[in-house]
Formats: sequence, C-alpha cells, structure tokens
Amino acid sequence: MADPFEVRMRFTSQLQHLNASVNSSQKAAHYALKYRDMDEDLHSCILEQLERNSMNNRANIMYFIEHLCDMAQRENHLDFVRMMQRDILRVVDAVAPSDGSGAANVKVVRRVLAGLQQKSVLLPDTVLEIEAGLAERDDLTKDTHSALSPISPNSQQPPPDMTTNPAKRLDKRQIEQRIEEDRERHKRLRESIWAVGEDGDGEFERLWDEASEIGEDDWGVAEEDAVERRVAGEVE
Amino acid sequence: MEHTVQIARRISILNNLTQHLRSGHQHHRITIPLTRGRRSVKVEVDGEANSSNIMGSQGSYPPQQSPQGHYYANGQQSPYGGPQQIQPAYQNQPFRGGHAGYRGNYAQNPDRRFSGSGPPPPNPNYAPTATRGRGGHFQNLQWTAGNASTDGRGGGQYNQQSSSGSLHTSPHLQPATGQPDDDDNPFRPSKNLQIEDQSERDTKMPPPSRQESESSPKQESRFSFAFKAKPVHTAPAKPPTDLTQKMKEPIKKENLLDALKIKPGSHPANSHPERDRRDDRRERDYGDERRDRRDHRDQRRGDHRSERRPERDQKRDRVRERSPDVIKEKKVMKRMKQRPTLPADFAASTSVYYRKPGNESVVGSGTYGKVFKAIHVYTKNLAALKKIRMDGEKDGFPVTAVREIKLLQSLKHENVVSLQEVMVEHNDCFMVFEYLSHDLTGLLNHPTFKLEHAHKKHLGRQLFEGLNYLHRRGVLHRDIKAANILVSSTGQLKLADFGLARFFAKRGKPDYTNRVITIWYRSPELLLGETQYGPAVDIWSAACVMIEIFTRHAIFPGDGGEINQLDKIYNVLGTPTRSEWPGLVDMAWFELLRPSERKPNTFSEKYQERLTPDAYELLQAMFMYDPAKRPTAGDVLEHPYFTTEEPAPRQAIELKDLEGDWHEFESKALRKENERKNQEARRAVRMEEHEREKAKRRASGSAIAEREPKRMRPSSSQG
Repeated sequence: MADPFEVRMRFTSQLQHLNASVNSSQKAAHYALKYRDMDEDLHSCILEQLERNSMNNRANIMYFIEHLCDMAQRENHLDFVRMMQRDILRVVDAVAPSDGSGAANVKVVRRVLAGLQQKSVLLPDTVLEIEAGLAERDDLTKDTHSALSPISPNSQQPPPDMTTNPAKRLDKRQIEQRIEEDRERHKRLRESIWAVGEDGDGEFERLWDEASEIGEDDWGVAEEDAVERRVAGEVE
Repeated sequence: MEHTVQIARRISILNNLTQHLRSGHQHHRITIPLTRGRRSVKVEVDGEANSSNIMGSQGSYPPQQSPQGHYYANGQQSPYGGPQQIQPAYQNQPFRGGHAGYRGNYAQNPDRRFSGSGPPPPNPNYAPTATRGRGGHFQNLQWTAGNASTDGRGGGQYNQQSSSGSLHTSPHLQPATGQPDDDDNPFRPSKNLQIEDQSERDTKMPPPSRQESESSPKQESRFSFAFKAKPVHTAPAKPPTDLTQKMKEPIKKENLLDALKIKPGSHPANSHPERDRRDDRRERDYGDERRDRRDHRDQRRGDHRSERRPERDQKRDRVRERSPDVIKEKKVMKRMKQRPTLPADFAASTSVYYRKPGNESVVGSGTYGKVFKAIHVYTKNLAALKKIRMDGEKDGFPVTAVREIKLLQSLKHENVVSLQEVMVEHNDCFMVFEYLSHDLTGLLNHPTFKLEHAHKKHLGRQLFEGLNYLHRRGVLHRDIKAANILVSSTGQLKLADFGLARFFAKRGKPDYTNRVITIWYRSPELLLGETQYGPAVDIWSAACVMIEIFTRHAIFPGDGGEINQLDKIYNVLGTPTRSEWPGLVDMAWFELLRPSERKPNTFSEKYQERLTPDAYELLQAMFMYDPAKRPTAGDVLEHPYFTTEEPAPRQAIELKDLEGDWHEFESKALRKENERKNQEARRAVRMEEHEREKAKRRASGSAIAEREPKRMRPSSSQG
C-alpha cells in the first residue's frame, strides 16, 4: 500500500507537468485509477491544482479530465465521474474565470464539455447551462475590448482595458508555450481526422462533399492534359 | 453533360483521395473506377486527342479471357487488394449508389491515368514485370482475367481470348476493359496521383508498339517503382508453365531507393536531354514505355555492374531503342566516338551531374538540406540538385520529400520550377531541377543592379501567374517568400521550393497545420491559429514579396515569434476590427494574442509615396485582414496595375548582362563578407586610435599610461 501522502504528491506533480500530449494525460489518468481507493483525495488534488496554476496548465488539466472520465468509465470506477459531475461548475470557473483572465481557455472548455457530453459524463442540460454562462462572459470581454471595436466617436470612453487587461495577459513565454501546445494537440487530432468507419458510405460521402463543382479550373486541367496527349502523339 | 459534371467531381474526389492516401492505411480499400463516366466524357473532348480510336473501341471489347501469361501478370499485381471483386459493382450500379465499388477500386485509377500515353504492352513481357505477380496464380486465375484484359488491350489478342471462353468468369471483365481509354480522357486524374501509381503502372501498361509477345524473361525488371514501398508478396503458388516460371525468376526485390534511382533520373533522359527539358510531363506520360526500357537497362546493369563508364553510355543508348536486341549494337558504336570530347574534369566526374568540388557548388542551404549547382556532363545543361536529407530519418525515405516530388511532378507551368528527375547517387537522393541564376532575395540585394518599374511589374505578373496556376490546380504553396522565387538570366520568374506545399480541398472544411510559411510572410489568420485556411495565405505572402520588389525591404520583419510578428503587422496596418474582419474573434488564439492597444493604420503613410496609385491600391487589397476579402491570384492579374497602368510590364532581359549568380545564399555570403570587412576596418581604426592614445599618454605621464591598457582591454576585445 502506497503512502497516501506520497500518492498525493506524485499526482500533484503529474498534474503540474501535464503537457499537450495525449500520453501525459493518459499517464496521469492511469495513475489516478491505479490508486482509485484514494479517489476523493485525488479529486481534490485536481481541483486544487486547477485553481493554483497557470492558465496553460489549467487548459491541460481540463483536457486531462476528459481522459480521466473516459478511462474511469471504461474501468468502471464511476466515483471519479460522479465527483466530476458534482464539481464541474467549479472546474469551469477555474479554467475560464469570469474576470476574463482565462478568455483564451473558453474554447478549451467548450471542446471538453462537448466531449464529456458525448461520453455521457454530463447531461446535455448541464452543458447548455454552462454554455450560456460562458457566452455571457465572452460578450462581456469582447465588448470591453477597445482595440477591436470599430472606430467611432463614442469609443473615446475611459480606457477600461488599462485596468483589467494588461494584468491578466499571459506573459510572452506562456503564450508561446500555449501556441506550441495547441499545435501539438491539433496535430494529434489530425492524425485521426481522415478516418472513417469500416463500413457504410462515410468515406464516399465525405469525398463527395469535398469535391468541388466542375469549373473553369477543371477545363484548364483538361486542356493541359489534352496538349500533353497531343505532344505525346507526335512523338509516336 | 450531367455525366461530365459527375465525372469531374469524381476526379476531384480522386484528387482528394490522394491527399488522404498520404496517411497510409486506407489505400487498399479505396478504388474509384472511372470507366463508365469517363467514356462519355471522352466523347466530348475527344477532338483533342489523337488516339481516339483506341479509346473508342475499348468499351466494346469483349470480356477477355487472357492467355496464361496474363494471369500471372495480374494475378496479384494489385497490392491494394481486391479491386477485382469490386469492379462489377460499379459497372452496373448507378454512380452514387455503388459506393462500395468505388472504394474498392480506387487504387487502380491512377494507373489508368498513366496508362494514358503509353502503348499497351505485350502481355507476356509485361507479366513478369509485375513484381507482385508471383502469388497465388492458380487460385486467382479467374478474377485475374478481369485485370488481365486491361493489359491485353494492346496485344491484339482479344479474339483469341474471348474464344477461350471456357474460363468465362466474372462480369467484372468488362469494366476492366474500359480502362485503356483513359489515355485520352482529359478528365483523368491529375498527375498528382502519379507517384503512387507508378508501381502499378509499370506492371500494367507496357507500350503497345512492342508487341513481341515472347520477349525474353531477362528483360524483366527487378525493380518496381514504388514510392510507397509496398511490401511485395511472393506467394508460394506455382505458375502453370515453365516459361512463366522462368520469367519470374529475375524479379527479386523492390526497394525504395532503387526505385527512385531508376525512375526519373537515369536513362534516356540523359542522352535525350532536349526532349526531357522541353517537356518533362510528356516524358512522364510515356512512363510505362520508358519503364520498359528501363527495365532492360536495369537488367543489364544488374548483370554488368562492374563495367566502366563507356559501357554505361552504351547502355543508355540501348535503352533508348525500341527493340534493343536488334539495333543496340549500332548505336553503341556511335556513342563511342562521341565520348572523347568530354573535358577532363567531366570525364573524371563520378556523376553525370558534374559539380565543382567542395562547397564551391553550393547555391543554397536550409533545413531541407543543400542545393548544388551542377552541369550535366553530356548535355552541358545546368541543373540545380536538391539533396534530400536522409540523416535523422528513422522511417526511411522522408514522406515530405515524397510529397514534394509528387506535387512537382503534377505541375507544369512556365512560372513554376520544373523537376527534371530524381536521382540516387552514392546513397544520396537528389531532386534535379532546371537551374536559374538568381532568386529574388539575391537580385534585390544586388549591390549595383536595379530593376526598372516595368521589370518589377513583369516579375509581379509572373509571380501571380504562377500562383494562379497553383491555386487552380488545387495546390497551396505555403512558403512564398523572396528567397523561394527564382529568376532566370532572361528575367523569367519561377516559384520554387514546394517542401511545404500541399493539395487543398476547394470545397468543404479543410483542416491543415498552421505552422507553415516563413513567419515574416505569414498571414494574420495563420498567426492567430487558423487551421482552416485557403489560397489567401499565399496571396498575403505574395503581397509581402511585392512590397519587397518595390522597396527592397521586407514589410514585416519580426523577431521570429508570433507575438512580435503580429505587432509588426499591427504597426503598419493597424489593429484589426471586428467590422473589417468578422471572423477575427473566432480565431483560435485571438484571446491569447489580443492586442493591448489600438493602433492606427499607417500603410498609406509608409507606402503610398513609394508606389504607383494602382500598385498601392492593389497591395492594400491584398493586405486585407479578412482572408475572404483578399483578391484571388486571378483577380490580381486583372487589376488595373497589371492591365492598364503605365508602364507596361517588360521582361528584365537586362539580367543576362549581370555577372555571376545571385541567390539569397550568395547575398548572405556577401553580406557576411562585408560585415567581416567592416569589422576588420573598425578594429584597425580602433587599434590605431589605441596606439595613438598610448603614445600620447606615454608622452604625458607614466602613471596614467600604466593604468590605461587595462581599461582598454574590453573594448579592443570586442572587435
């Protein structure tokens, strides 16, 4: 039996060092399930780390939660899932705080929520509710952003950003790290993006949809080919 | 007409499929038969094609039972598996209904296309060529027939075959027969399919002209050209006759490098350079035929590896011959006389592309590897050899290089650099391009040469002609920048470096990586994390290049990071607003990279004076934040700047008087050299001052003089 304190320390450290790779998320999820008898402890670790770390890390933990629930369902240890259902609002608030500091994470939250709903960890109603809250925040932050509003005489209001925004902005290194992590995640996503089911017409349908209407371009290509053939004929 | 539309769509489906294929797994499942629709198209476009009779008749070939030779040939030839079963499906089914069919057959398409110009092959000959033809002939006899008929088309064996009807097998035979007409079908899938198909192609389509059905087994190739390096199955089943067995003997292995070596480089191209250069594509079309000759050559090569140069020469000649067995001797003699004219250094060259020793021949280098300037020892034509970096490749031949080659082979335009061949030499793989003396960076940094306005316009027009071609062909370049734009000594411009290029879907929702394009030339949507982008990203880059042509300076020279790059853009174009770019807030990293303050647009202030009114207007349009609002390459070409504003574009033929070659590489070297000289000069001046001061001090008093040197050290060591 492992020392509960040590388990907690290790798990915390894993959460802190999560990165964009599926691997790291899965490793942590594995660890959590390995010590499932301490699930409550571990769950509190997750919440704690969510509220403590950088925005980038919170995003990574958010993605991790999806893996954890997935794995917990598969291994039929539903306590993790239940606790997550209970605390999902707290999680969302931590990842995308209402003060706008986590605006960059809103998209992450949406994606993970959709994933959780799909895995029936969350009820559609819950997700809708959270969505509504997020949308509100979204509008709020967008409206206050003077740099984006079209130039108009009214926009000469007191600069609201000066007080809120700069402080909340991530530092340069974090931004760059986040960009890299998003790219990494996107790359993983793209690895399976082309896959279609074994049977059915999924593949055909997809290609059919992607095919463009016949147009001038196609004639251009046809013409080119025709020239080619003609030249070929001459050589013969 | 209905049909035509369908067909065209199918073709684009094919194009899309090739994209998907990159990632592997699916090949074997996907097969789209084009037969039916194609035929009808052909009728419409036939006028252009000479060989309409071939095509016309195909549809009506009776189902053929191929003679034994065929069976082997086709027995297992398709590495993609099972197309045979599936073919019938589409024959009988309505286009859309038969999905299953399409899928299964995809693999075959490409070669059909290739089969195009190549004359149909004598079967027996070709049968052994099929490296994969070895397995399970017996079991497969019947279905094979279906495929076999394809091959048999040239051989005039139809009657014979159909009479052997006892074997009458499956309905799919017929669809197969439809294949040959692809040659003339203008709608056949574009060349981007080429590489993938090669292996099949050669197995299937030997040239018709050579009808000697009993060519010797020796001539069979032991190489199969396959970029994909599909595993070769050699099934244990015994072929029915001795002859066939013999034929198969020489087939041994296929290996990627070998394949590359054989393919484009080598052979007749070398002795036939004009043709090669004139029309790379055409040669490609002859692929199958060439392929055959190649096979002979390979065989020979295998046999007399040790032979020296002259022998190699002869081989090349023989290869050129239609029926090598008969004529080759004569030709050999001819060549032997020519050979002595080779200059000593060429004769000593181990490569047919002679390069100056050491680093002297390097004209470019980057992450992709190095580019060498070379001269073909026989034709004396210049070439640029791009060496494909193999070190650090764990998974064999780099897939990026394959993609680049595939793309380049499908492109032919006067403003797109042409890939002449791919060559393997001493374990290195080279892409051989036409050589152009300059690139835009080098030209714009030239110490004395200045472009006139008409020249700039001509360069600009060529740039967009090239881009327009690429985009119409469904290709995103994704690395447009001054250093990738070559300029010949007659002022002709060509787009180069397709290492990041890819085919794109003209419709539907794309999803590509946004880590493309050299960052100074990267458009704001890419910087903000967009992954669903299109040709507009190239337009942005091209606009940056245009500015460079006009001002000789990059417009957004950032520090290499996304944040700084966006700042550079905002400093010139102002921060974007939601009204001018509605999609802005949906960008993935919009929140992350949000500007902290609003900046005004200073573009007019900075550039209006330096550009003509129309040029200014055009550039402003291309620098739209919203990618949807940027003009297409076609729009750009119709802009008044190119069409009406004076001066009219004029080719920069003055470049021919320019001494030397000017690429980014040379100009960088020049800059470094200059910097070094400057530094030396500065150091010299400092040293002098130092000496003078010392002397002064010595004169004024010894106490100070002792302390001084210490103080001076840091500054002198800087130099």
